[in-house]
Amino acid sequence: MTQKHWLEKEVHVWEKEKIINKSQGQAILSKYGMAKKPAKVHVHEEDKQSKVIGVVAILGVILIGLGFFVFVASNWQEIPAVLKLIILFGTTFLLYFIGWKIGYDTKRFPIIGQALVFLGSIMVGVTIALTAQIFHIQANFPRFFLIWFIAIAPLTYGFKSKPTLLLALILFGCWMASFMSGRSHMFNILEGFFEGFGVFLFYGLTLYGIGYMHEKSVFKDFKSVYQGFGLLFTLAILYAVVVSELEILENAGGHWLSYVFLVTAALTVLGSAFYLGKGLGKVQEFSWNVLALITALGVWIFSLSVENVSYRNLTEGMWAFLIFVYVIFFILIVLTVLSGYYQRKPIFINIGLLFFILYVGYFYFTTVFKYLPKSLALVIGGLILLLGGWYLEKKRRMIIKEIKK
Amino acid sequence: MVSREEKKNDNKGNKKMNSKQFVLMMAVPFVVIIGFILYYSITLATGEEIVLKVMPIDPVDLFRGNYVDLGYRDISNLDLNEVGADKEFLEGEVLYATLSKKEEFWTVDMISHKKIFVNENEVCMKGKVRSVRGDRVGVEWGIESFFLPAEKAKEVESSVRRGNVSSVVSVDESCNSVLKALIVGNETVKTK
Repeated sequence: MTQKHWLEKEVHVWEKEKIINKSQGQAILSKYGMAKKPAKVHVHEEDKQSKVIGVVAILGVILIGLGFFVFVASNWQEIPAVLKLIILFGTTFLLYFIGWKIGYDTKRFPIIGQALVFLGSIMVGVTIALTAQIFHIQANFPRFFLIWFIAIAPLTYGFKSKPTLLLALILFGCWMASFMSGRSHMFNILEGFFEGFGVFLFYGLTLYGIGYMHEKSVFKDFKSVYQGFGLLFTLAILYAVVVSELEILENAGGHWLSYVFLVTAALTVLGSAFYLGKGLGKVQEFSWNVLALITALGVWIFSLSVENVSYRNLTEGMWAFLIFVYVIFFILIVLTVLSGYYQRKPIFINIGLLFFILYVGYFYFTTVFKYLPKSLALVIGGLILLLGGWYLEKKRRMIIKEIKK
Repeated sequence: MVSREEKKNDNKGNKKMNSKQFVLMMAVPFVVIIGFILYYSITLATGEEIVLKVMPIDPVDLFRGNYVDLGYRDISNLDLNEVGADKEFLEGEVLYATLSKKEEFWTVDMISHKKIFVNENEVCMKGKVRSVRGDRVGVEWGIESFFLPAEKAKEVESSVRRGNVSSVVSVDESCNSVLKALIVGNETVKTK
């Protein structure tokens, strides 16, 4: 087969697979004397037209869908139970089916497909809640979060859906909090969070370690979700210790789950050391993991050994420990940003800077605000936010741009 | 020309999901939800029906439409001086109760930390200790919510406050209970 013959055949295949359009195909062939040069190469027109039609079609479908939902919601109580179940199951299945078809099978609209898969995962929760309503099952939130988590967890890996994974991680956290509160109502989740504080100290680090396990797998994209969420969670927990001035530790019990997650958090640090040894990890990341574990362990042991912790009557020893936590938390924030920079992970930088702002904000409102007149303190605070925010944003964009290069 | 192998993979070289794999994956949430429904349907279908006297508590759930919050005169708060218990109960513990019918309604005879063997004219119900105050134990049974259209819920609520309501509960051999219907005066209220 001559080269020209090969090229002509390939151009027809590219046109068929819509990699190029007809006018572009003609332009390529005309370059080698195999076709007449087209008057104009239509690069975007046809694509633009088909995109407009696509958007209009999608809007039309959304309107139809919304109309259907409004109709169902208005007449929900009149609909028989069997039909309700059919509607719930049908809607859930349809969302997943369309999402799979356009995002994973034909790959015509991958982003919309993934969004529909995520919507389907939310619809699973809606289906569970409304099914419970049909059967008058009491709002038992531990069970609800757990069932929803179990239903969607395998789908996160099946569809390789990062948003669904994030939803699953949040649901698991909510289940743990509900479980530890021992009560059924939604508002007891917060109670469970405080009572099971020791567990959550190590949960974030555990998630970070689970991220490592995905490094060499086909799900390596999940590593950033696990580690980003784990990092955010760990810093949020320690920030809660900082702003409560240790008071949050009063009810942090020695639940058996704390020991389980302590072991898994320690395994995360070992994993981090392994990665560093293999040349895959960074020193900043390893340091972060070690420091986070030591801090979490110190806070947990402190919580088990003291009672009646109140910022009004902190002893000298408690004050020393609190200052230690302040300093370590600041170092963790710096390590988070550095870790993000050296690992080329903008999300880590964003999280680090977020907590930097929260940290500075905490000190501002607990110290400066107390000692200056309120009006002056507010003006100064506003100026710091404006100028500081502008400077941080400028630096953040510069760092992220450098990473992306 | 794109090979068959290349067609099976996406741009990152990962395998695409075919229709069989899709159906298999869809089975997971549906099996979980159907399992959840069956768990309660079996109790509804095969459990013994008992009638409990309702007393009022609170109003609207923001997240799941209107429902009537129900308390039970004879089982929501138990006095350990009147009801036999194997040992002390702590908040959050699972509790098993033996109930028998007294005149119109069923009331608790005994409570225990383990499932109790019951006679023909008795049932066993499982609950969770909500609160402990001295000799009084507050219990949640999972039958404290009944969903109704907003207007109907308000009507039923005012009947509950007048002491005019009882509930029909289905209890199975595993001591699980599911709320079947409310009896408001002479009217039986079920959702469709």
